Amino acid sequence: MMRVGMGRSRNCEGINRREILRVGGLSLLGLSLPEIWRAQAKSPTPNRDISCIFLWLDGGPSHFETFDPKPNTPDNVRGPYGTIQTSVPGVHFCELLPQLAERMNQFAIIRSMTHSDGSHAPNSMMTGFAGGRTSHGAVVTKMMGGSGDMPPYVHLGKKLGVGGGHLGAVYNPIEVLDPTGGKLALPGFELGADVPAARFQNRSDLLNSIDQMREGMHQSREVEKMDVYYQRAISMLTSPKVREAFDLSKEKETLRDRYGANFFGQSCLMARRLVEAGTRFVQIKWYDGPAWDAWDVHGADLAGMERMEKMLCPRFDHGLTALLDDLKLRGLLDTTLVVAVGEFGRTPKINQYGARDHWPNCFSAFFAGAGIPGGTVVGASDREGGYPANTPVSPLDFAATIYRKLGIDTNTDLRIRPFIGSAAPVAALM
Amino acid sequence: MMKTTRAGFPVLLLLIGWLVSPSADCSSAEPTKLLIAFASYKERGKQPKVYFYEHDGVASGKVVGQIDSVNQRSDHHPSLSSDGRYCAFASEQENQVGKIQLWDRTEKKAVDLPKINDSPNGQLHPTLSGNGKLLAFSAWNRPMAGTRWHVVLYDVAEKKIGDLPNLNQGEYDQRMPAISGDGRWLAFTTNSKNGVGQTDLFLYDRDAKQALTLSELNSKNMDAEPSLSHDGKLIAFVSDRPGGAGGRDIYLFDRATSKFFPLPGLNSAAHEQAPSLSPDGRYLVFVSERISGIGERDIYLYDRQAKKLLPTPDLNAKQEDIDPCVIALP
Repeated sequence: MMRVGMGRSRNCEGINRREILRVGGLSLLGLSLPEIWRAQAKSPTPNRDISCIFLWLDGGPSHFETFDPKPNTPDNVRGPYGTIQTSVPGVHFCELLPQLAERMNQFAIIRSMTHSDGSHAPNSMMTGFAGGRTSHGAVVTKMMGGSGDMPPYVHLGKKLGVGGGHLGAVYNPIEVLDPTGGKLALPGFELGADVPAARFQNRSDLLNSIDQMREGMHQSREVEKMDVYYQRAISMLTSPKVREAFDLSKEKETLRDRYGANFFGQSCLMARRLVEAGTRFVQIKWYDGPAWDAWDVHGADLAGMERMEKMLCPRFDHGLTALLDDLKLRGLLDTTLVVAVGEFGRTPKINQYGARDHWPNCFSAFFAGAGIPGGTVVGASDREGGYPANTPVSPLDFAATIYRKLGIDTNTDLRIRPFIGSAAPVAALM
Repeated sequence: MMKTTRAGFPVLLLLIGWLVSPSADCSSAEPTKLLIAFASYKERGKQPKVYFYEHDGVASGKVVGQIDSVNQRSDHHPSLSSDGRYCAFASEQENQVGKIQLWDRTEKKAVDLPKINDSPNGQLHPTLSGNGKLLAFSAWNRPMAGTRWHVVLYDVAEKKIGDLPNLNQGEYDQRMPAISGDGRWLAFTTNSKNGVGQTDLFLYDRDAKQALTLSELNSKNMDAEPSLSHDGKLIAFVSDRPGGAGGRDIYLFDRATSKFFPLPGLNSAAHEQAPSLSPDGRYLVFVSERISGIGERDIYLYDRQAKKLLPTPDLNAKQEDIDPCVIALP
């Protein structure tokens, strides 16, 4: 990402005219945000204005040690942890998620997710298709756009390899590698020391600079039509609202502690700020490190399921409940869909390291907000948690559920068909 | 010269006894120099190493050494003998099962422990007695033991697995052992249905060869990660029971009175984990994840007498620091 204000060729004002707009993929030669807004203006947008926070539990969390414990199974399946009664009678979670258990009446769990891809590729669960490249966030961005001047689609964490896909790079998310720490240096939004904010925010200077740049460009009606979108893109670049949405130092330290002083917790807090400011789809990748990939607890690096017990589940429990509570407190939960899922679950049988391996045949997914009926358990796994006992839910059904909840009519809107095929949303979550 | 009266002599004896024995009320006057062993990812992002840190018991400290590791091996969960010479730790070579090792800090080499790792399955969470002669640890599916977690005791002097009659019974998991400095007591975490809640702490008496269920300590919530004082009378542990500061918190239980000691200024809204109690019970090191910290998980040192956290310069790094163990230096 280019830093605004830096560059080898400068005008007498110290501004690099060619680079000043090459920010976060927002180049003059291929404006992304303006194109999105243009597409949004052409297509009717749904009435409902729902955002989505998608928590990607990279590595594949064990459903046994989270939402679907099996206490009455043999030793080599049960695992070393107890189970905890949730706020919904008859529903139990693993004891590693006590705060989520208290709030079960506010969200829904699918216990019968299933597919056949045991690799770490996020494609199945993030696009609906094993070989898919077009993420839910990209589809939503294309069909619904953003709200106001906020980037419509933001990804927090390392790259995932899915995004705009065949819709084009224009629908890739804005990527923020690490939201933790104080002031965030938003990629591409840093001002060089030689470009004072006041100068940069002088919109007439900017527009003049754009005009000068366009002198050399092919003059066409198409370019003229792009003006309103250029201006809107500039407006976003210069907006304090955008910068502030990414600035976690604006939050009280007590709240930051409540979310958890770790990448996941702080990402959840940033996601709340982003949807509050108008971003449509925020995607958080559970981060690597330390040790191996996130939720991929084979036990081969640290024996047993210590990482689940001491790091992963506590952070997940703490951060996600902080997010739910905070969204609710701010009146945002009804208009924010929160989803949490990984590539797959983990093997019923515990391995030689005292942990579990990949298992796509049956696993759990989490849904909250946006009218999701609280206290709902969709489907069930069999006695040993190996296969769905009923109500199997495919990645496409999962995708259709997200799209429907965000206001896309999966029954009648033909534009969504390429992304869900004949799948339908999970009825119990509607 | 002070005269010792007839009335004063018993008092003097009491005073001597009070000074040398673990003190539940931690009323020792002077700060104690401490040695903290811990694991850190600061040099290797994927595999932690074990380091040693000396602290003056007030506000100063520095890293004084480490365990020589090998490429792609995770070393963690160190446990010190009371003289600081020996350090047991868990290690996993990448894609191999976890093993237990013992490091001699004076000789700077590993101590040979025949048969301790005679298992094709994972082992971890070692704990060392004060004299370094007993080493307990958790073992998964150890041959002849069943497909669950068991506590295993190894006699370092005899170089053989020891007996734990009436422990590891039933179809439950026993793990996360903590041995008292005097070697008599073994606290451990279990999901036994004979407990109070889900995961509970039990305490095994090697003399009586029986486990106590600690019903006055345990809650209906998760109680885990025990650490014992030298005489086993004090138990520090982690719990997510309601009424705490937020998330998981650390508690200190006195078996003599069946009461909890307050720990003002220790717990926070963040998670606190991995407590380690100094043999005399005065100091507690633990892990917490706070915005005010340096990395994500950091190590903190608490002085029960001063009722406050002590500065630990140069202990924590931007990477994660975990699994602390504290002793008082002789």
